[in-house]
Amino acid sequence: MSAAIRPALGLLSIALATTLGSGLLAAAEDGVELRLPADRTYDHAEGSPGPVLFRHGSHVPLADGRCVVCHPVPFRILRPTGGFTHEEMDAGRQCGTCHDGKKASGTQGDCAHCHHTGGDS
Amino acid sequence: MSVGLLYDSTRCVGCGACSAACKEVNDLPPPIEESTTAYTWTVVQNVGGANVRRLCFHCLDPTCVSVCPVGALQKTAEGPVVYDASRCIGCRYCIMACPFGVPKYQWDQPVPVVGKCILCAGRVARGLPTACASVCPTGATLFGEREALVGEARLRIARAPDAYVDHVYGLTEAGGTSVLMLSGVPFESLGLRTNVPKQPLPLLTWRILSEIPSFVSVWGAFLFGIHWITKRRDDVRAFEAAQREQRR
Amino acid sequence: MTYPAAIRRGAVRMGFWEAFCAAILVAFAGVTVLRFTRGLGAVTNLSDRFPWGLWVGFDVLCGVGLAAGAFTLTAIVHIFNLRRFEPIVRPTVLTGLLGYLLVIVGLFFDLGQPWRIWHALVFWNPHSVMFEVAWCVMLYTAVLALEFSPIVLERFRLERLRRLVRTITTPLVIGGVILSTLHQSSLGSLYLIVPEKLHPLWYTPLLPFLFLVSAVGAGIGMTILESYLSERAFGRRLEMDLLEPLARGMVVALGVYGLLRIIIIVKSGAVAALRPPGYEGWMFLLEFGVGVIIPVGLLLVERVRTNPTGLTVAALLAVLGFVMNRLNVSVTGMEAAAGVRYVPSWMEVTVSLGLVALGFGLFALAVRYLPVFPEPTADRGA
Repeated sequence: MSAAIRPALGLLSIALATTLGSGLLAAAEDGVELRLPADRTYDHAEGSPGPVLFRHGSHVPLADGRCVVCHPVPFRILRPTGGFTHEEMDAGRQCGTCHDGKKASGTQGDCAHCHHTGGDS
Repeated sequence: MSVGLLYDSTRCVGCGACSAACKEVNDLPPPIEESTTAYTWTVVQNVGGANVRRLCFHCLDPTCVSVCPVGALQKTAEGPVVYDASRCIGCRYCIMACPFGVPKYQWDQPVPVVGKCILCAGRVARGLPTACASVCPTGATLFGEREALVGEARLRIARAPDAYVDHVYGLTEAGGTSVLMLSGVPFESLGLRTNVPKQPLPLLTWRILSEIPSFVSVWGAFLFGIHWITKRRDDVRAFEAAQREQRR
Repeated sequence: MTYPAAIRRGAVRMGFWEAFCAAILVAFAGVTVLRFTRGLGAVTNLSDRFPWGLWVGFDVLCGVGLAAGAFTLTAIVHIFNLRRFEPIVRPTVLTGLLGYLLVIVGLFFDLGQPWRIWHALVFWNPHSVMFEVAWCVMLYTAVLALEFSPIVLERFRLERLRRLVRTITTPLVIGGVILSTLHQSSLGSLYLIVPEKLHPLWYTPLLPFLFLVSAVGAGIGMTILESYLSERAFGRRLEMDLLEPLARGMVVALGVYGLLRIIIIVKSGAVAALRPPGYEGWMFLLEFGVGVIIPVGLLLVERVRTNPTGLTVAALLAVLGFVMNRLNVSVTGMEAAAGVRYVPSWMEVTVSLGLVALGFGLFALAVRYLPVFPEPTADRGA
């Protein structure tokens, strides 16, 4: 992972976690062991600037610890699917459900926000 | 060996991953409703600050299985109580009889069927855990052999007696169920029924139905006997009347 | 001739009841379409909390119970050999046959997938009370059809066939009594499996026996009512010499039933629900008063028992009380545990009333075209 991205993402996670105090992380304080799903790397397609890393840790607090916000619609929970495209996102589907440029950053703007350009993944 | 689930309410954070996985693995349509319906086979509810999952308890001697006139509900050897929609005639006796209020109906469909958790019978038969157990991020829902789960439940209560109500829900209810629950608050405050008899309910009707062959033979013999006696009385009267006629 | 012209000519009667029945049947047709195109939820007030309502409580439970006169009367005549009751066997068997056929029609409305009703023939679950009820009702409807067939065969002068059927009367009647005993009581057994749901004023392990005895009483009550209505509609005379002893039988049945109910609720402690009476308590008192106390009290008085009006009023009350009991078991007694109050929708009521209207209409048709009554009926305004 690029040296610049890691601390940025780490800061983002901590900030979100503390400000939103999600049920999941609060439960961690009560001694309930958490097992968040592993981070996912989506290989890039033709013309993509780089693979996309999806972290549950940065998204779960935004959903107040409620998996049902994203699962199973629009994202499957048992057998993860891929095939995420800008086209679908711009139509408000897949990641574009939130990453539409308004609720969260969309397909326009800084590619490095989602894609790991250059360096190793 | 039969499998089951252990749901520990004290470890549940109400994330709903179980509901999501259930919808996906059973191809059920969105949305995830507030309580179970024919289209939402498990939900997690927050009742007075505590979380509780609603799902089928997969009784060891299921009431629904015993009441279904066409055997659409069956208890499999592995543990799940499954439903064969192709047999169902829609009498809804299962819905009326279930002591836990589990089965639900497709009231909005012209061709309706019943819907309830089937403990991922297909996955279980292939040696996989249930979908809900496989996605639970806290391990509040555990999948395993029922015996082992009972042991684990008792262990947890013993280790932290102040954290739990001293009862494993499903150990004795309706004669025992494959889905067990632990709670930190009284079970009725979670909306779980605590008036479920300890004895399996099917015994209440089997007691009578099993005697039908004897009853039919005895009652039939009795009725024929009455007919025979009264008919004989008529025949005798007719014979005597005929005799009197002859003498005249 | 057009229908209105026929009414003017007096060939077809169009009084209040006929118009009412016609209106019900039109609404009935409309509800039928809705029921099968839009499902049960669109037409009924049933729900997951309350899956059985008026169509089970009235169409099935009352329909089967009120047709019980057939097995009682055929037993009296052919098993106990009390031949003098023979003249009322035919109309009672007709009532029975129509009753069971209409129960089956009613089931077609209530079952979620009624075109699969034959499934009980090939998919068996002998542990299910409903399986046993289904088989007994199917077999007994066949028995009733056979018991009724001599009337049809007589009409079409198929004498040899008629005599053939008559030779199997005894085994047919015995079979009918056995089948009836089984399913009349089994309708009560349906509720044995919900001890924690059915209110203690009605739940008892003796529920099957109570259902059987009350069915015998209600069946006799229906026979008396049917005689009275036939007298008014077809100019039949009321056979008091037969109905009076039958009424005594009804008093015995209701008396035994009433005594048993009292003993049961006292011994089980359910009587506490009457001190003071809550909702269920009042419903019980109403059912018991109308269905047991008043009819038994009335019929113990000889002057009432030998008077056609008194007899009929008592029979009507007994039948009403029976209907109340079945609705109390299936609806009232189940509401508290369900956590909802159930009130049937107007569409459910339309279907149930429509079935009753059909019953009356078919009975009248049968009386007109078949030798149901021994003497010819008096002509009215021809």
